[in-house]
Amino acid sequence: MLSIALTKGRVEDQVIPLFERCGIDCEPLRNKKRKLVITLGENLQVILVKGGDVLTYLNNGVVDIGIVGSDILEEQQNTGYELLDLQTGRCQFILASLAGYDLNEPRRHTIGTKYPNITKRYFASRGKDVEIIKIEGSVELAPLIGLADAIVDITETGTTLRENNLQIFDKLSPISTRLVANPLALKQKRGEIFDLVDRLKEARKLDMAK
Amino acid sequence: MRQKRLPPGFRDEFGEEAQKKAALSHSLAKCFFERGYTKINTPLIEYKNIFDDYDLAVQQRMYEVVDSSQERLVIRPDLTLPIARFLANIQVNLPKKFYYTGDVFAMNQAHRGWANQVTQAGIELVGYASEKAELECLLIINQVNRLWLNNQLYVELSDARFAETVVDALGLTAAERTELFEALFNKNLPVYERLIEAYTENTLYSLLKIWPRLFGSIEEVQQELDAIILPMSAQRLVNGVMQMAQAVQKLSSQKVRIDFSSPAPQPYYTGLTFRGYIDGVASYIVSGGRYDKLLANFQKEPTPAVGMGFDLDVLASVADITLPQAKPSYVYIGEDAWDVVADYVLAHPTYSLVLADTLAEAREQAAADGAILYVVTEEGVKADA
Repeated sequence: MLSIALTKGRVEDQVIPLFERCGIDCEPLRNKKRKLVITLGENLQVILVKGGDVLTYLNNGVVDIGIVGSDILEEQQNTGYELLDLQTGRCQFILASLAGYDLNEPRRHTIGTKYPNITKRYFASRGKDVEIIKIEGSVELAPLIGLADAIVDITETGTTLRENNLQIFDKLSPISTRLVANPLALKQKRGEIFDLVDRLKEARKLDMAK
Repeated sequence: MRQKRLPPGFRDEFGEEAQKKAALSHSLAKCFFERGYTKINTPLIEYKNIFDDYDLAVQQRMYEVVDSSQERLVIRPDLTLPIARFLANIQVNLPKKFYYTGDVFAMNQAHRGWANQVTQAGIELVGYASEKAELECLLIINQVNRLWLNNQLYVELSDARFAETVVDALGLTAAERTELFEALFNKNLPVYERLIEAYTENTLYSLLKIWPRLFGSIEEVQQELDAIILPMSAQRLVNGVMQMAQAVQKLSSQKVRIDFSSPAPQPYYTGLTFRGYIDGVASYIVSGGRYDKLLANFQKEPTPAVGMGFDLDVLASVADITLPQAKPSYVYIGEDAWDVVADYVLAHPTYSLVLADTLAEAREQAAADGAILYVVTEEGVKADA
């Protein structure tokens, strides 16, 4: 039995069709109601968790596999094995602010973000020291009401940014959903894990060919 | 108000859990001692640069303190490097076999469920170039497997030089090498697959293609390798690992795995490496290997050496071990019986005074501890009914 920590919500919704194309019956997942532990067929047990918790379950060895956005893997400096890019949930890390923002203005800038580690690494790579303010949600507000000079956030279409009069000043790394494995689980369940990876890879290839 | 909380990553151990770990530690120490090993204890605190060759996990840090001269010290994250430091300072006649038990410390990110303190018990065989040093470690691992793990342990073998030998043949620059190893060892397959696209014309491409999956049973790995022509130097390493794997597989009920796709447990290893794990547990129980160059890093002649350490916390959590059930004998001293009690207790060195002022209290304590109670009065000694 393989146990999977699946990020609930958007990631879950996008992964279900991919699983189904691999021949996995996801009806119990579609009709889960308030259940958090769902068994799919004889070989898979899915636990639904928040994205930020996937690596905690994975690294403590209570699940074999995690399915989570690369934004979280990057922010939490994933130490598990990243076996597959599912290429769903694609979006982009961006640096955004109001028109007229000048990143090179000589002063210490304040950056609002949900991703302080990524932000720190991004500015460090540009030789800049910035003040980072961690914000849990509606990050776009920060420059609008004067909490921060700019934000580092993720965007899919840019609509929310545009609706709030924010412009993209730089594009950081692209984001997509990844399948990660606990290193020892891969040793212990090599055949089952690689079989699932290969089937998902094939299903993804067929999707992209369409 | 005094702080009564424990810092994250630490825990108290008491009762059966602590006894189990102590019993395993005692048994391992006895096993090492009886095999002719010399006990070594090194301090908890060392200078930081002792651990320059030690690879902490991502986001791990050493605990640092400052001494009275403002020099940076650390609480040891490893037990092998302090022994190398000891051997560089003290003229010990080599070869010699050492054993140790001790705690190592590394600061993990808080609130993730990781332990910052781990107890290890291990051996270092210093001055031995023979492969029999590796075999000695593997024999001890097999003994632990049979005694406490119901033969469920997988011994995983590799060679620390394999990956370097392969990329030497590819002729990579230092930066390319780092990038490839990072993707391979973290099994970041999307990045790895992109990187190896540059080598489709290389004779080693067939190896590069399967490299991240080059682990499993002897037969599985051999089957994968049968279709590949390796550079001579890499083939020699593979032959050595396979030969040792065949030998280990012949040990009583020992399951063996090979892994040519992972990094060595520590960068100081220079030859055969081995680890042990069981199904359903996400940590290695034992890990070790050959490290022939470590002493050279401490301004000494390179000295052949092999070492390994058991993680006693993981071992204790899975070991099938029956703890002896204590049935203490308590002695209650009645009024005016002080004269007779000393001789009585002295004659029974395992007997313990029951720490109560009344017989009723003594009975309560004995019942709570499952003890036999003897009552000593002027008339003599009798077992309490």
